[in-house]
Amino acid sequence: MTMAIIELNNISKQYRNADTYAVDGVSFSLEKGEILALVGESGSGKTTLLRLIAGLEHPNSGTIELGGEIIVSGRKSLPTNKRKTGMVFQDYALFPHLTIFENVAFGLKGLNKRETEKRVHETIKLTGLKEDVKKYPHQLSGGQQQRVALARALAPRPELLLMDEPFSNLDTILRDQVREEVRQIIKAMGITAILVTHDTKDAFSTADKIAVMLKGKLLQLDTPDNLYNNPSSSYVAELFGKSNNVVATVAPGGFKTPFGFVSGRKDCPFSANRGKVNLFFRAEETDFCNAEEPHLCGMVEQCMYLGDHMQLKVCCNRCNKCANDCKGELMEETQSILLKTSVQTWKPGDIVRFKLKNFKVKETDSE
Amino acid sequence: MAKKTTYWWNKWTGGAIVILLLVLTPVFTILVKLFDKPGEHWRHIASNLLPSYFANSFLLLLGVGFFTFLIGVSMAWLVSVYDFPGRKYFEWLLILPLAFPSYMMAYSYVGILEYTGPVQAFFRNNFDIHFKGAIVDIMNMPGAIFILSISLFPYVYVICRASFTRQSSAMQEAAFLLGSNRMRMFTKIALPMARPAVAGGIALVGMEVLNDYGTVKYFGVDTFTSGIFRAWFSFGDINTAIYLSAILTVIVLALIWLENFQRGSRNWNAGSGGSRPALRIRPKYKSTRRLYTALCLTVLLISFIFPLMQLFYWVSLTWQNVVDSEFGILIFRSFSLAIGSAVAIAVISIFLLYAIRLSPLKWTKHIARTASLGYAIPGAVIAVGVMIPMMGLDRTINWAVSDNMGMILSGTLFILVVAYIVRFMAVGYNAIDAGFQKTGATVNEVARSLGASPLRTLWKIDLPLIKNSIAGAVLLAFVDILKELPLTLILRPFNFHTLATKAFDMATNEMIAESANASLVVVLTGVIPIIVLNNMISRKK
Repeated sequence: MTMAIIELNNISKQYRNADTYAVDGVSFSLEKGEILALVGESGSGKTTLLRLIAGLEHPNSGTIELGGEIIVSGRKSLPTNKRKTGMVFQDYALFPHLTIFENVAFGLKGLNKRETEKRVHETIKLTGLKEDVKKYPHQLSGGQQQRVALARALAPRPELLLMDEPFSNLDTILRDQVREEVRQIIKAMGITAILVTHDTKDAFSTADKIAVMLKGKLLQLDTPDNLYNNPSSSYVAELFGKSNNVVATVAPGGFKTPFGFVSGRKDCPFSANRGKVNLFFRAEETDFCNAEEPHLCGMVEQCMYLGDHMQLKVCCNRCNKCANDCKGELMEETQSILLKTSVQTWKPGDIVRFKLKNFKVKETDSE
Repeated sequence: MAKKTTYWWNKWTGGAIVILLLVLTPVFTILVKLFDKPGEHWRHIASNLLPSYFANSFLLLLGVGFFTFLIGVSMAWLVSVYDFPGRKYFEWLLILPLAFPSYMMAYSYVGILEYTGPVQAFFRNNFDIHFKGAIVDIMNMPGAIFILSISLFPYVYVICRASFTRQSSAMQEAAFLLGSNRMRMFTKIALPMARPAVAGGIALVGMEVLNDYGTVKYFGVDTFTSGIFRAWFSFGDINTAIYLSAILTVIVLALIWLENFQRGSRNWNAGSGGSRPALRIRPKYKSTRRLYTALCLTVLLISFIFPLMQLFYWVSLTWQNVVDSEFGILIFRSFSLAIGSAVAIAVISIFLLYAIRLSPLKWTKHIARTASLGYAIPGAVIAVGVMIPMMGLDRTINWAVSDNMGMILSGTLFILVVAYIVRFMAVGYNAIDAGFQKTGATVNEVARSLGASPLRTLWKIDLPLIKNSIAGAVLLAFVDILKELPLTLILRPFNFHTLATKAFDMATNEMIAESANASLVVVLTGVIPIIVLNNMISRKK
């Protein structure tokens, strides 16, 4: 049974002269060897939370336990240099006046010269850096500097590795490769890690668990799979891909939408008396079909060419421009949805016929 | 469970507070004395002299403020915007007058214009024109305004120049495209945007004017500072001197408040600092270009070259009598005192700035302002303000230990060094602050997250990275201390002279030519950091 390496309990931080909380009542725990990604837009509090764990900021209330030890409790907090955390900063912050070796060796304490050398070379080898350790940071490329920063944080064998936007300084080509490498290194060392990013692709490819933050609050912490398929709110859903929300009326056997009739699912939680609901589905959870099958239909409003696929904005309000076989429910507002297609020949004004492979039902006022 | 520590209080914060209180003590002491009774000569001074102190100080501030504005802004504008022969050199040459303390410039000009001076000799020998006395008697208020203006305009010049060059070139280009000509752009855009900086520069000039003693004393102009000296030395009335200091402090604080108020929330760097430096315009006509060169050259000649030549001339006449082993000792003492104090300032500034870096609470930002307060307060006031607690301390020691101890603190170099620190803290503080800002806080955070204690981080990481700023800070403080006169005159131990006080002493005793030896050492020493700093800055470009 694995023990929780880090546990946060109701951590809150409010900066002076600010009305809002930067971090608002966040609690979670991580087991040894897990990689957690903190995802959110700027100002969501993810970096503040990371710094709170590192000890570079101090919370107003709440507790943090690291390796079974309480490191933060209310206004008492262990100084950062006494915590067993390692941190990689966004701009790497390598010490410009020290060599690579000296950078990596900086956090090593209580080792003699031989042991220090061994540890430094071990860690550097682990990160895949092949440069001469007597070089200085300004002589290295961005990717190499990142490896040095990683080695420097890992050399003291911390209990928890913290990374602040570790991939944002890399160009796209390098990024995929580095993401994979970093995950491998962390897993090889069996270390627990928390990384902060605004890029959901980073989170998906590197982390075991993802935590979504908004305005200081933790919205959802789950595996990437669950977050994608069972988002707790439309914000979370939007974060991970284009999704559609269609207002529909509950009817016997299904739902009436402006695009047509959607056959109901057996596990729909709402009874027929409910009224309006939201049907939620991803753009790729649809299939195009022809006029013979039961289908939904709409008209292409906009086409967006995205390289490997095309994105269609399809609207419907049962207007006369639409096909004659449209069975859509008339509603007050026009609704439009996004569909993905690999066919490139769509134009605005075309009629689209499609059906839903999968969808979820949510209350109309669920956020 | 490891020991936890409260995070908002540590030994660094505590130390910073202690230092701040020490720096503030002289100012507080003086202000508190406002509510005390002034001495017995107060009534005499109040009715006969106080009005002229106010009037003269006001006139000086107005006159010098106006002329430094005129010269400083025009020179900065020429040098930032136009291209003309010699511009690259004038950029930094126009800072040189700062190496010349005002009172030494006063002596030089009196020498230049007097009967035995070169100007009169020229007229006599070539045109057989004789003057009675000096050509122009500058030993009066207008003369003081003149001298102070030409020696202090570089403050406005430097700040203004920085502001003009920082103004985005895109903004100027936009103004051009919208049809404004050069003059209009200057008055409507560039100058208003530089206003906070210019005001700051003039405020700085104002502080220096109120601080000046040597010039106004020599020219017989009665100001608050000369009044303080008269009360202290001539009347022996310490309480009156303190009371005058208190009034002067209030005026200075009012000036500071005024400058802050008009600046509002704008900072000194208006302008988004475009990626390109501002357009440099090459005037169409050769005569215009030559005119600009001539203007800059004239300013340089009057404010630096002529007085310097006069010094050289006097030294050539007198050095054999003056420069001996005693002179050597004088230089040694002066230098070591200045260097020692400068290093102390640097160390304290590092400590304060590091404390702020470690615990960035709201109020720590005010540390900067407070530590820099000493620079605004006139040297004479600081001297008085430091003296009082010291005497109190001595009296306590006498009472506690034995009556025969006498004065062990007052009248020693220790008190002088303390006063220098209080007065010139801002110089070191600002230079080292700039260094810390440049290296950024991240590197420090990384080191601490790797387990290094704050002290180890300071020693191994922060300090090596700000080496240049520390050197710059020590250099600037050193030069400022070397030039300092009023504070040193009041607090120096018996029979202890610095180059500055020696020059003053000799000039006051009609040995003006001899004084040039000490003056020359001070001026030449002051020129060096200007050249060094200019090299550092231009290398960065």
